[in-house]
Parts: sequence; C-alpha cells; structure tokens
Amino acid sequence: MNEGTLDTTRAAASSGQLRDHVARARTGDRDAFDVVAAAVVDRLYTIARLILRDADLAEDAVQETLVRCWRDLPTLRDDARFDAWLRRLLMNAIHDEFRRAGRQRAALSVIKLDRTSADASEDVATREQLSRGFERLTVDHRAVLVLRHYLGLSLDETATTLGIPAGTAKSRLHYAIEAMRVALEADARSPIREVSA
Amino acid sequence: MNAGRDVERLIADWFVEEAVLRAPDRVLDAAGRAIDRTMQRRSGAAWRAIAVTSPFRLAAVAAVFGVLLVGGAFLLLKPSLGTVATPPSPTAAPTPRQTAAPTVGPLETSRAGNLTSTFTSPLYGYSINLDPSWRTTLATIRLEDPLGTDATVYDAFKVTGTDTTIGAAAEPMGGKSFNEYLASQHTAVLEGNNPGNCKGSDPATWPALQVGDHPGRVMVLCNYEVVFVQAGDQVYQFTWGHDTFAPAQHLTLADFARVLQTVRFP
Repeated sequence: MNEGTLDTTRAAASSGQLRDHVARARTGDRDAFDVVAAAVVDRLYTIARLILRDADLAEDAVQETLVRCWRDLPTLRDDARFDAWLRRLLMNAIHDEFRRAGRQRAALSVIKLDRTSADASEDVATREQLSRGFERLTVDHRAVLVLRHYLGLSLDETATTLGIPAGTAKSRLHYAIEAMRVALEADARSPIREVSA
Repeated sequence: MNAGRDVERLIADWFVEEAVLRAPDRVLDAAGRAIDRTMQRRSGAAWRAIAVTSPFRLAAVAAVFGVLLVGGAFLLLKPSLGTVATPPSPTAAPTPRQTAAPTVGPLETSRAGNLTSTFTSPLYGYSINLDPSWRTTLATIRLEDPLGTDATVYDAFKVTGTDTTIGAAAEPMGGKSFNEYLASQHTAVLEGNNPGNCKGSDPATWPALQVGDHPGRVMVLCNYEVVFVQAGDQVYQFTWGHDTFAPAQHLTLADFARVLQTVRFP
C-alpha cells in the first residue's frame, strides 16, 4: 500500500476488474493485492463497525482480515467465491475481536443512561432502543442480523458466510429478531431509568 | 414503541442510518505494514493455485529437468512400487495404465519412519498410521465447503526429516460416478493457473495405487500428486506435496505408498 496512491487505488478498484487482481494477488503480486484491499476495505469496515459497534475494534478486525486474506489467498480453492470467503474471514476476525474485547469489557462499570433521552424525539428514542437491544445480543446473533438485514444475504448465503447449517442461521435470526422486539417493547412499556455505576 | 411496528424493517433502516461507509485510511496503512511482514501460505495441497512467478517457473524447469534425469536412471533400473494395484474393472471405466511409479522419487532408504501411531480424522473419519514424530494439523473445514482453503480442508501430516507434507480429506461424490469425479478434478486443474506443463494427463491414464483395501487412482502433477479413492459415497484425497523442488528432500513415492497402505476407511 504505497503512501500517496491510496485514494487513486480506491477509485481504480471500483472499475470491475477485481477478479483479475484477485488472480494476480494469488500468485504473490503485492500491487494487485493492494488494489484488492483498497476495493474491499470500506465494505469490510462497514460490516465490522455495525456488528462490533466500536470503531477501534472494527479497525482491528478489518486489518486482521486483510492480513489473513493476503496470507491465505493462494490456497483459496475457488476464485469465484472470493467475496464469500472474504466475508467469512471477516466474521472470524470479528469473533476474535469481540472475544478479546469481552475480557476487557467485564472490567467496565455499567454505562449511565442520559435521562434527557426520554425527552428526545420518537425516532431518536427508537434508535437508542435498537442500539441497546443490539448490544445485548451475542456476536453470533448480531452477525446474522447484519448479514441478513444490511447486506441482504439469503439465509443460505448467511449460513455459508458463518460456516453454519442453514437451520442454525434461521434459528439465530429468529432469536435475534425476537430479542430486538422484546427490547423495543420493554423500553416502550417503561420509562428509561437511570442506572448508577 | 408502537405495537405492530415491523421490527425487521426498523432494524434494516437503523443499520442504514448507522453504517459508516468509509474506513479510515490508517486501516489500509496498518494492514499494509503487517502484510509486509507476512508470507503467503502455499501449502503442498495448493495444486489448484501453483504460483507462476518467474522464480517459480525457473524452479519448475529445474525440477522437470531433474525428474527427467532421475527418470532415465529409473527406467534403466525398472524398480516398481509394491503397492501399485489393479482396480476392479468397473463398467465402462477406462483401464488405468499399469505403469510403475507415477513419477520418480529419489532412490534411497525409507523416510517413512515407524508407522506405529494411529491417527483417526475427527472430520473425515478415516484412520492412518503415522510416525509419532510427524506433526499433524487437523482440517477444520470440510473439503466440499466452497469457502475452505487448502490450509483448512486437509488434515496435514508433516513428514519429519523431509520437505513433504501428506494431506488427506474427503467429500461426497455429489451424484457423480468415480470416473466423472476424476474427470472433474482434472478439469479443475486444466482451468487452474498451474504452469502449462503441470496440467496432468487424461484421467484414463492415471496409474492405480492401493489405499488400505481400496483401489485408488493417482493424478500426477509437477512435484505433486493426489491419490483419489472411493469409499462408500465419499471420495478421499491423499496428497503428496513438498516445500521445495528438490527430490532428495522428498518422502519417496514408495514410502508414500507404504503410508497409504495403512489407511482404513469408516
């Protein structure tokens, strides 16, 4: 990743020639991999940020994904599955980051809720409810929600990305949506209470 | 929260609002620095993805030249692989050529060690006898998983004192006959990015090799071989790959065949 060429590379990477660059990167062509990395980094980051809800963790997960991508690309057995394979690498890295962060999170105190949020508009309140509900989910349930309802993957594609049976993906999705629904309804029934640390 | 709201729609809209669409430049910069220190994996099993960089081509030419030299000596001496066997004559199946060794390994003493340790694959269920000193790496993803890599789908056995790694994996026949399966494997090689002289031959000409009590067939590539065996509705693959093109560093084909004789299928 040559300094100064990054923006140009990002623009060039959107020209639909990613497949060729992947094939060249597989043979050890570092310049080709730079183009691939620049082409995918934004969407990797978007997904990681949505799931992890933390900019630093998302950056680490994306960085690790790109390193693993470079390292293992020559052994990818089907070029046509590059996108799906990369998504799985990202999910593995997200899992690792989430686990690592969980150990640190255990030492944190309970986050105080700002009472003024109760006076905010309904949309803002809904977003806060969604956020709280989402953050109570496990990383597995967050991932299935993002893959399905942000990326728009089918259940089969979601299962393939996560390396789980379709039935498991379906049940995780069902659980995650129900958990979000419960979070929304619970918040709707009771006013936001201040929590002391 | 209003009752009856479409939770899924709310979630989808919220994701769109929350999405941060551009990664900070420092992510690419940091990844680039880490990649500078990272070697690409080129497992012995990566026969679909052999690099074609200039140094590789040079090594390939050297290896082919070496094989030709040793091959000449081999033909003069006419040794044979004790385990080469004739498969049962399947209906409408091409008869494998009953040649001696599929390629020529170094003519030296056994490096297979003492095959006293039995390994049973957690993922694929087969058993094989190994030398206790060999390093084993378990497959974590099944062979048929399209997102697997050669580093993750093969049980790998690094043969101590050589540059050879034996790999093993299995996948369902997928409705194909064994011969159709072999043809599909060869097609994958033809369509892959192996150097032009490493595309293998017509599957009908692939030599036979005994694996446990099952007949197998050997696909010969440059410096690399894959033995395919049908057991039940699965096809098992056993690979013979190396870190270098130096035949003297390899586990010999005779020793590879000896190891494969110990295989037992579930």
